[in-house]
Amino acid sequence: MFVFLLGCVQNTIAQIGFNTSYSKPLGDFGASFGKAASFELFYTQTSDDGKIIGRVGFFHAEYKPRLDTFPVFLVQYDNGYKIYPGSLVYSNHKETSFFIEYNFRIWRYKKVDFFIGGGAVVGIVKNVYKADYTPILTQSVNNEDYIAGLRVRASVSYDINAHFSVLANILYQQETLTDWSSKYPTKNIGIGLVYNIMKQEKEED
Amino acid sequence: MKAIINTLLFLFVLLVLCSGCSKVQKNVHDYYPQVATTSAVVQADGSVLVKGTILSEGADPLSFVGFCMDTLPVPDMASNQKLVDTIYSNTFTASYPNLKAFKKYYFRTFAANRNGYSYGDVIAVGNVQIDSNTIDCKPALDSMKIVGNHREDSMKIYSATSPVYSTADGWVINVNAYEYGMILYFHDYPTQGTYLITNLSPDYSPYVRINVSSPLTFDTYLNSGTKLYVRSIDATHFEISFCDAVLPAGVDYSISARFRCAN
Repeated sequence: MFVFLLGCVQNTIAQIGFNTSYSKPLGDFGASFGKAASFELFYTQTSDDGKIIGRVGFFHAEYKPRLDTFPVFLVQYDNGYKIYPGSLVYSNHKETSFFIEYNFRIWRYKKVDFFIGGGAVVGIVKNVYKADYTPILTQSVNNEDYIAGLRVRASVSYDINAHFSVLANILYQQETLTDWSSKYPTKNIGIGLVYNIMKQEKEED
Repeated sequence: MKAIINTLLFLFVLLVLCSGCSKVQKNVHDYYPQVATTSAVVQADGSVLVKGTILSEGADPLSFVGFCMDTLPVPDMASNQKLVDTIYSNTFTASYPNLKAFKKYYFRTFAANRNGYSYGDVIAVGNVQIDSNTIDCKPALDSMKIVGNHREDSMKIYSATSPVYSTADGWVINVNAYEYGMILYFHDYPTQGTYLITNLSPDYSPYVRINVSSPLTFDTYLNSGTKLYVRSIDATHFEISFCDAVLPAGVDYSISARFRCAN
């Protein structure tokens, strides 16, 4: 893992961390699902000069639908259009994903580091929807689909002591189903705690 | 190296941010259009003109706008649906002809965009009747008059089949007067309204066949262009009339009639 994350860097500092965010669905995803808490559990390696951070971990969020029932319609064509009213009921939208990302220090002021970076995400989403267009059609679908995507993160890290640092960050994540049929963009604003497994000895700039 | 990282990050941010750019509405109901049912007014010909107003398109352009109608108090979108093609500065209209006079009808608008649909308020309309002043002439009740070739015959209608009955050729009313016979065919069950004869075939609504015996003898039909008025008199009776209906070339007579029958 060490070599995988920062393969070209000779000396690194290993860390584990936890981050919780206020996650806001964007775009069409935000039309159906509301804000939720998201969680990240990650392992990081920081180059010994503190300028590059490699991070791998898990992301989890569970978004609630914004309405109990969504008013939707069905269009039929038979010598002209006719539209039929229907309803759509969603379950919670659950996402669990694995991510890998790299962050680059762009500025440092005393014990505060500013990073910008990004990476890739793969995972799984689960939800159930029930569509009812009585008497034309009713269906219930259990979705369990693979997703893949990209993420960018801007973060500020403050070293509390040699072992702990806190992390405030804003994370944009864009994921799509593997058939490209649905996209799940989110904005996550969060705070986390990072524990240095080995004593931190960052170089001063 | 720094330039490469900056460029990659810039492209990365652009890619991520621009792939889900539609704005998230704070209030989820703002995704849906908002419409109001402005009015539903009985017209002189017995039809009801319904008017709607678009209050908001919602978060996306409108896909469909229209009206629905039922005799139940909360009409469903699919009930007697009329979709509207043209919108004039946020207002749109549709006409519901051939309604029964002594029923109460409920109308409401709806609008849909790609997110979903919403309804306007319900407006109830009762006493849907043709204004008798719109009828071109008023032949005497239960009479037929035939005019042409320097003669004029008026006959009393002594029977009209009641109620309207169904045959393979459509809904039929048989009318009998002395020396005259008349059969009215309606493709669909006749309802109150003004019918225009446009096609001389029972496959189209309506079609009126005239059979006359002595002293004149012909068996023909009312020419296209004739207006046929069907007016509800009470909950169970129609009054049907037509005025100076021209018969086809070769039969130089025009004919008027007014009679009542059970619906």
